[in-house]
Amino acid sequence: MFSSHKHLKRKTPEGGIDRRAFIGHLVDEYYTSTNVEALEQVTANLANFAYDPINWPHLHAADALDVFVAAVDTQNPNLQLHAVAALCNFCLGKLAAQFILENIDVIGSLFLRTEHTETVLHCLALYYQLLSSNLATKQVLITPALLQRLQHWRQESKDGRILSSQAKVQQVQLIKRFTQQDLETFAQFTGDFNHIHTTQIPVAERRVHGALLNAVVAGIIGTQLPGPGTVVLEQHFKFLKPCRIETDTVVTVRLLKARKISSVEYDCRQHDEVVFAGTAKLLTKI
Amino acid sequence: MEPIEHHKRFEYCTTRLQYRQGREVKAVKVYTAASESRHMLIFGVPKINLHTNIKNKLQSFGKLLSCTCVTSEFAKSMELEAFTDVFAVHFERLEQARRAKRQLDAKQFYGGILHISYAPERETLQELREKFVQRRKEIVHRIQRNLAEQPPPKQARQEKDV
Repeated sequence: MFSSHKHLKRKTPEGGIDRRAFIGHLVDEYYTSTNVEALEQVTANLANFAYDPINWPHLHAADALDVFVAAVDTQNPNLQLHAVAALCNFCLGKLAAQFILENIDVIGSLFLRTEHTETVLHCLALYYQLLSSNLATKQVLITPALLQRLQHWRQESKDGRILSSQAKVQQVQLIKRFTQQDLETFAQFTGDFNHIHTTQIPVAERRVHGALLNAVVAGIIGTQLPGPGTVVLEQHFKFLKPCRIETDTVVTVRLLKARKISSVEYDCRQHDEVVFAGTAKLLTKI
Repeated sequence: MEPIEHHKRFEYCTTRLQYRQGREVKAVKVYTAASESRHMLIFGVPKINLHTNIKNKLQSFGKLLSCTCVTSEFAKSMELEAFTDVFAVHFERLEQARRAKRQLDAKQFYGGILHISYAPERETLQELREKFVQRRKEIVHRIQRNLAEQPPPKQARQEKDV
């Protein structure tokens, strides 16, 4: 919540300490206390003060930013959380933004290793605000390691605050390499001993079972996009070229329409040529 | 989408040093723009057909875009207080949601105690984007207001440009 000068004056009891002094005391306590709970309490207190820009001059005067960076650098997940939230609250201030960028390595390294959802949430908000208000450039903030980490959270996070169900990935790709063993196992399982899939013909003429290609696509549909619970209603597909074994096959599934009845298109490519392509209508559990 | 851990009520902190123990006991928790939302969840509404009552109560704070009973949605994933309902509400404006939370959280309501929690996970991407735009505007506005109310003395002028 925000306060005005008048409000703060009114809140301060007669003979009590004013906001600037109070913030100074909190910072002092951070450096002098050995009680972990006290450290967590004061950092949370300071972080919440950072929400209101009326406190920014006091926080600067008390060097609270140093406290926040120090807390990010500890092993305590609560201190890290409070520090990141503080910076997230403070980051739209020019001086604070500068300070954050000077210490971006420490902050970035926390972002990369933390498993704590709340911390990730405020880190995301921090970075987003810095970028969207042009206080920092993409080159400085977005490193390859960060992009990888974001991909990790995109796949792993079940928290709706981090991964909006609308932001879910619209395309999934994987690379599959079919071996002769795969073909033999498949033949055993399905009874499709058609010699075109066996060692009875040379490798260059041998082809992967079409149904096996479709099964791999179905695997993606049922586990990643749209994901578990999906039921295939209808499919149309074509086998355009023979799919060869011992070749990298890029399997792509793309979400076209996300409704109760969704639609996807998919293809398999080898050497950048489409060997198998199709569409499907799916019943999803929205 | 899962975790509802962030909706569980934290314990009040009772070990604060005297100088920083405020008038009210509060939990140790941090809030940023990412924490708040025009969407909220109201736990602890007694299960005695209070839909209209809670709706009217909330509407005294501002326009509600929606107010739905979501007990069944939450009963599967979290332990709810017996004989209570959970409502998902969506205010038109953030200040209204803030005020409602401040005034109703941990207060009595028809024999139960309400627990109100922001629910940013219920926002659309567009709402999320707008939320941060609003945060920036509010900061600019507050800084201007503070300066107007109390222009900084000569020696503090270098702090102005924070």
